[in-house]
Amino acid sequence: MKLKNLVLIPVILAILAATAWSVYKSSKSGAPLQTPQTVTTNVPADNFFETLYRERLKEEGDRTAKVEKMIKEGKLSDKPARYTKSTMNLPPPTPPYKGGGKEPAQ
Amino acid sequence: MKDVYCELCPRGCHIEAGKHGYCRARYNRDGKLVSLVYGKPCAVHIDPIEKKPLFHFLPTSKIFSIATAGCNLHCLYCQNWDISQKYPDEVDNFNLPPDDVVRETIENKCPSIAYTYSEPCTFFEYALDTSKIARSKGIKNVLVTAAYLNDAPLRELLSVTDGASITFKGNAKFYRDVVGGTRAPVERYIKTAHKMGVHFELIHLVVPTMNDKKEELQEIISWVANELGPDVPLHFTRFFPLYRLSNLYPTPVATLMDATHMAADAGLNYVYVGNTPPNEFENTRCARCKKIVIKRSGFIVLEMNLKGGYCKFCNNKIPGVWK
Repeated sequence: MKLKNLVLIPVILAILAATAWSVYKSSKSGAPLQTPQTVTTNVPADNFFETLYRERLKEEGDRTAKVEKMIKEGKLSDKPARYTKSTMNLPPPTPPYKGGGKEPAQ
Repeated sequence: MKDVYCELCPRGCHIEAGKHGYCRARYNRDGKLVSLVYGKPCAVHIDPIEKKPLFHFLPTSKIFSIATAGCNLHCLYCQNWDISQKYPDEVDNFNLPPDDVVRETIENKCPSIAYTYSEPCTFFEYALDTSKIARSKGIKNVLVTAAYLNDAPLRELLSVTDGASITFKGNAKFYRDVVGGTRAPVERYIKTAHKMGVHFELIHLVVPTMNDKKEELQEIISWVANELGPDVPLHFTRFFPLYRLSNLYPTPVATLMDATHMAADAGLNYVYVGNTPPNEFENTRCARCKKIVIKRSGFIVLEMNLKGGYCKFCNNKIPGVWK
């Protein structure tokens, strides 16, 4: 065996031992095994979900033809949905998404 | 005017012709609201019931599990976001009408069907029709749900439901900021299931920095203890970095253990820890004699000391669906 390899073996063993000790210590202390990255809380702004939905709506017009085609091919269903009503005879429509849904009547 | 209102869930979407609801699964087709996913599941599997997780429902059994694309919430940590946050035309769908789901369930010797992975509220008609047929054939129905549904459809669905795994995610701020919804409808859903006598287990995913403070955990525990009593199973599960919260670290096991001790101190009888290496809180202990009635390791049941739903040691009744 070459001298270079003989030197490498204790180095590798030392690294393995240090890793094992670190994992053991963090599991005992209850700290996460994976060292946390700098935590940036992803708590979105109040209008985060509304913005997402509105962005999505803008693009939905482009998929109508695809959806209709898939319905005709039997790949998607056109089963009438329940719990719905048309807007006829109803007050003018409100925005489709009101920031998290309606609270139930108290 | 060809707009429609969808009154299925608390969002109350107003949908223009050619557009989808927030859930993506319901679509205004020339003035008529249709379900694009009826009989078109994008995921079909057979799972151990312990995976749902349901620990008090036909232990060791397999459950036939289906899901469609779409969800009426938008959890930033969703582990199934690749189907829940997709349009039905973006995923590969099977053609599996309700009759076929039940037939497959029977052929695969599963005693129950789970409506799961994404959100059964968004495939309401499909889940309801399948559940009715399943029940008529002696097959049980299980909802794995975030519980965001209006009262009338909820009662209709629960009338043919035998068990539910309900995620109860956090306080009102967490629902607003991380889930994209509100908490009040979820509370109402849980209370209705409780009143209707449907067996359910609550799942609380503990997300580091988001809902893992002691006061937040204590609030969830107190709500369960005060509103539902001590016998509703409560699972604290471990978060792993996913989807839009991939910058966070996994929940420390110690946090989950603290939560279970707090729940036990509050008097809850059946508290579990999930998504973790094997631990003591995977087992079901009799509330009276404290002996292990179901010993588990992950999804595997190692030992059963139950006799017809009663503790083999002291004959105490253990809540759940056992046959």
